Amino acid sequence: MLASKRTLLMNLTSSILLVLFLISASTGATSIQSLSFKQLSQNAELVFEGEVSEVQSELKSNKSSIVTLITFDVRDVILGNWSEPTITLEFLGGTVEGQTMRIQALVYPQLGEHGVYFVESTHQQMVNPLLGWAQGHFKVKNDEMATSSGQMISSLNEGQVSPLGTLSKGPANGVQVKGKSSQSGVTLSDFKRAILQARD
Amino acid sequence: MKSLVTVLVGLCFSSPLAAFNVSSNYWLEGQVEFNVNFPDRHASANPLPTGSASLESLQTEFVRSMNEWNDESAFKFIIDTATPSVDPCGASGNGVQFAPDNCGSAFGSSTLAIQTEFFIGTKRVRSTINFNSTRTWDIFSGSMVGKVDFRRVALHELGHSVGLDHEDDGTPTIMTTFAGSLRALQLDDIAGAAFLYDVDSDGFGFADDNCPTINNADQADQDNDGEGNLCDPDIDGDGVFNDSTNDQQFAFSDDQLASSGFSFGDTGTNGYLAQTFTIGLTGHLESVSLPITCASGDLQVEIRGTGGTGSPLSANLDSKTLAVGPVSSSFTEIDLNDFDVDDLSVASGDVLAVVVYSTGDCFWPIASSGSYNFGQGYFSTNGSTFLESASDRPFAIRVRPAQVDNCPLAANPDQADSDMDGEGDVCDLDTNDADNDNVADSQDNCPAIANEDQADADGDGVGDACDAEFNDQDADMVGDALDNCPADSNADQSDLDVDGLGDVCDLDDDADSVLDVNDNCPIDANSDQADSDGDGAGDSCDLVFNDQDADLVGDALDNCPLVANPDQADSDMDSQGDACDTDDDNDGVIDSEDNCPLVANALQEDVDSDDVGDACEPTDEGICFPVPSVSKGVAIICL
Repeated sequence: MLASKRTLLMNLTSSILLVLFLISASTGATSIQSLSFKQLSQNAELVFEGEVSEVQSELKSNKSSIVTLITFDVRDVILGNWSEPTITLEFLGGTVEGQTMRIQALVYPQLGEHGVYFVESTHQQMVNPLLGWAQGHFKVKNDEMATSSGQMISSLNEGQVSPLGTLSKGPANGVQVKGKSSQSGVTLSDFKRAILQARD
Repeated sequence: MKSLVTVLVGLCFSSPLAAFNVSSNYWLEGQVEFNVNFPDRHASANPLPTGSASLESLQTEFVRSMNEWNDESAFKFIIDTATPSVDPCGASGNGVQFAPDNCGSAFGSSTLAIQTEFFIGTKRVRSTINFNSTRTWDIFSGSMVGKVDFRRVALHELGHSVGLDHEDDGTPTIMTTFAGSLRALQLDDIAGAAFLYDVDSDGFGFADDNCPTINNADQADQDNDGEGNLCDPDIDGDGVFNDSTNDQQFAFSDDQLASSGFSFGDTGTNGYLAQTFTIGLTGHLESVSLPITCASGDLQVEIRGTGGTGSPLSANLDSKTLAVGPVSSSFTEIDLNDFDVDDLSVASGDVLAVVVYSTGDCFWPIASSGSYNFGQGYFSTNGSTFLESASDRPFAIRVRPAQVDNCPLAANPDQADSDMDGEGDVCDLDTNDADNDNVADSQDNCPAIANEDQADADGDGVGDACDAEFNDQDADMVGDALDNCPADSNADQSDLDVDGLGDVCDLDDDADSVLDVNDNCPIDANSDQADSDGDGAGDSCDLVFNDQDADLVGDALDNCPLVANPDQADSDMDSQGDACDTDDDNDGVIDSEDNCPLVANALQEDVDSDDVGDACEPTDEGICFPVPSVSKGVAIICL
């Protein structure tokens, strides 16, 4: 038995052996429930405006997983309590010395990124500390708001509450993004006001 | 984040377009063993909420979902329900469970399930799924209000395990980000799996395809060894390879590089790549195929041994430096005959290494990932990050087997070839034809040398192809035994009369019984030697017949060549025919003046003066005529 099939077998066998010693990489696909903008505002423990000042990944002590610690300079606490000038959030996954663990639907805030972040829990170890994953992750571009994928937001409302099992990767319900027309966007101050209104 | 590959494939079925997204890493074997045993895995301390289906029912549904993928797609889950079950949070194995968190990390309030992949390079090596046990799970169609339909989520998460990513372009698929009403695999899902695992589009995925990269819908496999005939280097399974050469495909992979002892990438001087590979059959390593392009600098390729260390040894077995010209140069197949060593004898199982050095900018010319200038596969003195997949850095080797099967389609491990004609006995239609020239040895005038025409110029019974003694005394290249003139050179063997004697030695070529030296037509049989025109050339071969007066008496014999006189009358026998003789009786008086033109009467006596000479005056004796006489010359005959 010579051909490619055997080669594949050999490669796979060696790969399986190697993984016993190290986690070279991993990725995940995740089913996230769709949330409304109101749910985001009501259920987040902390909502703050900040800028990413440090990104550092490390191998967990059990050597079976990697986490990425992202530190933010806190510019404004919109909801919740946080008195420190910085906050560090732990995300599952990342890259350490060439080894990568990746959760597919998890979007990490990038170094230097300016945004508004809905934190589900500041004290619990979570796969993604941001509520609703990408739904609770917003960027600020030239004082206008964008989703985590960079789509500029054109309008906001509280949004409909989705049925329990509805899955999401995109913006929360009630967050409308710009089309091709150059309509005006939602400013950071407007966005903050909407959060507070939705919380009430 | 690793880029996803979006593929648009036109399909033949009802869906106008497929637009699946596939992950850049996949299961190389097209299948994976996956353990599911919810009852065994589930901790009694964390029961599913009231309203959930039983763990047994969920187990049955998960197995059903795996079987749906198995039945509908090119990917195969090998379903394992054994106890103890695989712990998704353990160190190995592929498993699934219901748990309140994802291996220590909280799901978060909005997370239903997390599917995690472990991979090395492009190879997926592990897949786990954790369902959020704090949710209410059931199996039902319709809107998911208050509880979650396990089937939809299970099929979706298993799709991620297969290698598919979310697809939200509107094409019906179970892989949409937002769970809809679909509760079964769609054509787009099946096409996505086929894209990953049925690359030869023959309807068989890697797990089932006996030629995973060659289209062979019939899956013909003569020796039932699991390798289809089209890709089996030993079709009949007798241990002797049928191919004249055998190609093996490899790639520079990250893990191999890590263990190679060569740093991967920039060293400040050269760009290095190294990869070990295992020889598949005994023979001679002939070439290395490296589809590398160098924009600058040289490319050095080395073949090294490993000595069982798993890493390239320091000494080269063979090497070649490929100089780059003023423009970009591509090096595809590198013939080791151009190397310092003509070829390398290798044995099946040998582990060698190929090491390549770039002294400038070299790369595999593939689509850029956008992360660096020259695209994935780039390696150079400039260095960079090298996170591209191993499949982007392919190379291949070619080995010529030491022995080639003399019956590739019939098993004959002993390779017996009794007539030594290169065809093994089990497939040799004529084992008594050693030279395989379709003439049986018993009839063959050269049994050991192929000579289908059986030419035997000297007729000695030994074919020309193998005749060491060629008898030809006249050296006309026609052997004496066959030569019709063995002592006279006549390469053309001309024999007009077909009497067995060649013309050059035949005294009567035309066999007319007149020897050639006397024959007025030596090569035309004319035993009468007729020569109508008397020109010395027999009529049968006289191409020019001279007869000016056309009286059919040739000029040479004609007594009046210019006056037609077919009777050739010559009264005075003076050899001038009467028709042209002015003095027919030859008495010195021309006929126009002669009172007896046909009777010689030189005195013209005419007693009765009747203008008829006395010599020819009618008498009682009648009319007298002169006739030739031997004794008198001319005599008078009266009638």
